[in-house]
Amino acid sequence: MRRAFLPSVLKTAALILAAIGCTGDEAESGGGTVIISSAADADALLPPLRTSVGGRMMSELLFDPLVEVGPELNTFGDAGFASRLAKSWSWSADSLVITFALDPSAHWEDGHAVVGRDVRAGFAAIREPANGSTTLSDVTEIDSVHVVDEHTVSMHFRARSAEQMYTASLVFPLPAHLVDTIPAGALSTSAFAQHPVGSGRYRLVSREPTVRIELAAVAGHYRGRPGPDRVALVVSKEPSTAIAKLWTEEADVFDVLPPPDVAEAAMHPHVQLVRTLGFDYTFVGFNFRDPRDTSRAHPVLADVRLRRAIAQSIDGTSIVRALFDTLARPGAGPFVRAQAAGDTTLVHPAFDATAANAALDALGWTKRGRDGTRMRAGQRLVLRALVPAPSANRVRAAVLVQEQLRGVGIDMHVEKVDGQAFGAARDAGAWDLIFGGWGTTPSIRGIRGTWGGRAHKGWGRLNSGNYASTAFDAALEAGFSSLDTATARGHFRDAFRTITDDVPAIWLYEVMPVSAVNARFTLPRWRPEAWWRTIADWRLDPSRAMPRDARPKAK
Amino acid sequence: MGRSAAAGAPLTGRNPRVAIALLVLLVVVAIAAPWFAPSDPRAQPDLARIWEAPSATHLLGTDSAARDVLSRLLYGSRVTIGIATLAVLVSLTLGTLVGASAAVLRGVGDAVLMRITDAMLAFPRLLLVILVVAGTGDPGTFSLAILIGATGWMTTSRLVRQETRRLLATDHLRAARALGVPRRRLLTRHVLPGLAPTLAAAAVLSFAAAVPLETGLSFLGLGVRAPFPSWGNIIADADSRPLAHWWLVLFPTIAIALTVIAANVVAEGFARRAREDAASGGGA
Amino acid sequence: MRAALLLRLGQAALVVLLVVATCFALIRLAPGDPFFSALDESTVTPEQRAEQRARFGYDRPVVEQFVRYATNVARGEFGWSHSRGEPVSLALAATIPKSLLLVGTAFLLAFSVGTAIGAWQGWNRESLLARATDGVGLVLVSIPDFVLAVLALMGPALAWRLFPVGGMRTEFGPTGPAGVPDLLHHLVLPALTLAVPIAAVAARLQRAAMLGVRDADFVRAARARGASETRIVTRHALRNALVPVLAYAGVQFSALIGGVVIIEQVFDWPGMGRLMLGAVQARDYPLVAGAVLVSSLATVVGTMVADIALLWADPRQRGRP
Repeated sequence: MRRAFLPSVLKTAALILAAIGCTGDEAESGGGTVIISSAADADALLPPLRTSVGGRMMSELLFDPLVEVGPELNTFGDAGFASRLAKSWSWSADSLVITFALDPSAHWEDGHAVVGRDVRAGFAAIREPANGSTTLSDVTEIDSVHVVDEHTVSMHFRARSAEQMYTASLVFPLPAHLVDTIPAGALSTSAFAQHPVGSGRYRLVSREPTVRIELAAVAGHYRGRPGPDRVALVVSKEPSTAIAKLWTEEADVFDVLPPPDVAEAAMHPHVQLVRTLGFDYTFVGFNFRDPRDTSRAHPVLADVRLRRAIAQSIDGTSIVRALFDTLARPGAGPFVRAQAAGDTTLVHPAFDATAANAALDALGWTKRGRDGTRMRAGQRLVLRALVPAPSANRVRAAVLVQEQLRGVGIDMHVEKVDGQAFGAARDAGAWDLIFGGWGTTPSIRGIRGTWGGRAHKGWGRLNSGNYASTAFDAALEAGFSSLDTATARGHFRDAFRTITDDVPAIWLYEVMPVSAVNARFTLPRWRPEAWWRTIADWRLDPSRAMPRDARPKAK
Repeated sequence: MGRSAAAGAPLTGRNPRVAIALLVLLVVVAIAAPWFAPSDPRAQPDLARIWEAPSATHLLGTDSAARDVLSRLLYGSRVTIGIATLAVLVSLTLGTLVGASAAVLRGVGDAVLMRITDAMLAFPRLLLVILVVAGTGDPGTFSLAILIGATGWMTTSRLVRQETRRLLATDHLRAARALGVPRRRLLTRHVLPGLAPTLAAAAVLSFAAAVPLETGLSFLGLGVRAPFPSWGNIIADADSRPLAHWWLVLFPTIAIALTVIAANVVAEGFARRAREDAASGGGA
Repeated sequence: MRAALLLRLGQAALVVLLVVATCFALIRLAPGDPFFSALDESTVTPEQRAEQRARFGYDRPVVEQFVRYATNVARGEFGWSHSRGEPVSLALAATIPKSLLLVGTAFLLAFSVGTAIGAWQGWNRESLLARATDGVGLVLVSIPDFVLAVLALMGPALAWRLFPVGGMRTEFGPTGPAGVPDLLHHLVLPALTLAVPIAAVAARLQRAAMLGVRDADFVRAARARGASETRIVTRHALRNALVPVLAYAGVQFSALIGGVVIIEQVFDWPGMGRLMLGAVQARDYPLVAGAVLVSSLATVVGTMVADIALLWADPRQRGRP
């Protein structure tokens, strides 16, 4: 019995080993699969429609722009700009026209070549007000796009400025053969928006709203096959679950780790941290108009002295410390320090509860209700604050701010609203205070959309608090039309001084993000303003490949 | 027995008196919270001391906004127990009305009322409350309590109907009816007092069901909203790292669990009393 | 038997009608009419808006609206979900099977394990272990389900790496028949967490029923005849003791469906409960209402099935209304 047993055991063992050996060879490690873990879904997949970070990620993986700003993030002139769908460009003598020669090998995912009409279609989609593009006010310099021939387009600018090329880099061509048939304003509800056909190095494979989005590499892409074969965005309801997936290796990237998790990352050798410059700033905005009737000024907040008093009631430094430890700085204005044009010498109303109380008394809010809230002529000093529920930091900040305001007799009601509903409520101006945040770009031109006056054509699309200052707008205008950096910065400094004095918001914080990436990927130079654009250049270490990195069988 | 929630499982050896004492203590603490609480539940004295483990200064630790957890737990008990009590009043009233009417009406009226009860029972209670909360935005604590009560009267109505029928069938009541005692007098003078143990059991059962419902809603962010404390949203505050911030989970959970256990034990006691009354054939 | 069955069916039909009517009432009574104002969102095309309004009878008298609503529901038309850009029925169809899987597994687990434990506890009443487990059961019932869920996620899943951290499948994992083990691996924690409170109550009910049956005459007779202990338990005692548990099963279905909302939220299970919560936050009222209606109708069906099972198991019930 025993003698016959041993050979059969050996035979089985040999078979098993052979099987393992065989599968080892077959599971040829491909470029890998990158899973992005997020607590918020991508709101849209098309560049002119997206407003959330997730939307930016997906749309910029699916679509290529004409050109891209270089890794130095230089936005003045055209030095350093990399060619994308446009292979080369030339300037007209008066610098008012840039002619782009499209790369003849660039194709849409469905096989059609990328042609001049597509650039025009992309530009039209940004300009269409019904699409609600966040880059609308950024491209007001562009007057029109003309198709010269199949592979040549010319972009005409209204005036010369230092950031013309940067402006051009914001235009993402769209496939005219699919988009031109969609009536104006119907883009967001079209079938194309659900199943986009793009020019990027990844294409859409599947999408489950609020759950996941899967992209696959485009093999014959004109810029070459991307490294990772697949990219997925996986949405978890809670940020904590989204981060936990990093530790268990069910996901590979999380873009902004909260401080306790940064400490936790040290205990996980399979996670690498990337510390980078931040491009987001968060603020508490004041509504200059009455939420009940936006044609009238706000009965309480239209007075700058009251806004300044509120700003003085907030101890921003301690809030930032409590929320972020050392991973964020108090805000310096409607810009981030990574932007060269920003001005860090500005003086903001400092935290001074005594002065705040005195100012509020001086404004007539002397009586106190039973709960301590200030009253004036029978009205309680109540303010409704709109907070986006997906942003855990802003939700916590709101609670902290609420308590500090209670200390000076202001009753702040917190309204937590989810993604889409937040955008809608924000745009409708249905709030007194808003815990807003903007993701900026290397250029500060986004400020025309976020703080520019609405009287100015094309400006202020996102300025739902209706801050309006002609001095501010004029200084910005002068800055954007300057041709050299020094003059431009001078004008911007004037603008920032004006906006600081007007206190349209309390500049809460600017995050210094720490991103976490699974260590099996070797990362190229990190692009702080849009890290996802380099995913195609991530290199997988084959010795650390996971089962999901196996190259998917060709379908 | 039918479908009452915790029926049929006698807790041999568990003394209802301890449980009653516990519940009474809970109510006292809830009412007297401002005197027991060491600090203002919304105060954020020192933002550098967030998420501190229990210590001498903060007996149960601090939460994400450096607020004292003990104070929040005590004030939270006011909210949680207040809402549960109001909800119980509502559900008890509704349930008694429906159940007694069904028992008295008999026939078609009874059938219709019972079918309505079945229909309401078909709605998963949490979903129903979420539906109404979704329609109204933030309903506020008072409306929330009414809502919880309005969705929880069904079990009570069944119990009351069963008990009322039994009472009406006793010799005592039959004799009174034969003598021509008016219906209303029958109900108020004879039936209602007999219902007392059943009502007491139903009330405490409703209470035991209302507390987890409210805390669950607050945990999901749909019940008591920030900055007001409730046992549910204290737990929610830790949910990003419940093991690291164990004090935010443990103490409210103990509070909830003790309340529910105590309520169940007391309800058991009342139910047993009601059964004993029934067995002895009396009750009126 | 047939008469009782018909009566039950008739009652169920009436209950269904009442459920639809209540849902309709809640939809119309909600302040600001969120059912129709949801159609004003920018993600809804004008054509869809007009079609939905016409189909549900906007601005028609209430009675007509109800009739339209009821017939629409019968046809599977629950309105338009603006947050997902598709009909509510499609959104529900995609997520219901996933919730059913979770609820079904939890139901089976709860009742099989629960009744087994309860039967054992009842039969061996004096044992110390039985009493200890009874105490544990009491505690488990009293801990709120969301605490259990969070602890289960952070303990066995995250801290001890025994289970995945939420979700239904491993990303890019095996699919089809090969993916079943992966699916089961993801199913265990949420199903267990959902099942535990119910199993505890089922156990206690079964234990009580078993206690009643243990010393009954027919059991003594069987023992006297020489039947083995196991045979006595399974053949005779259990069948009788099953009745109160079956009665409980019907009620518990409703509680399961309610509990699944929290479990799906914590464990990221892409079912109908998670869909509902997302819909609430997105103010997508038609989707919320549709989910509630479908869940309630499922409960009616489940209760009716349990009722019929009860009729079969306990002939004494057949006479009762």
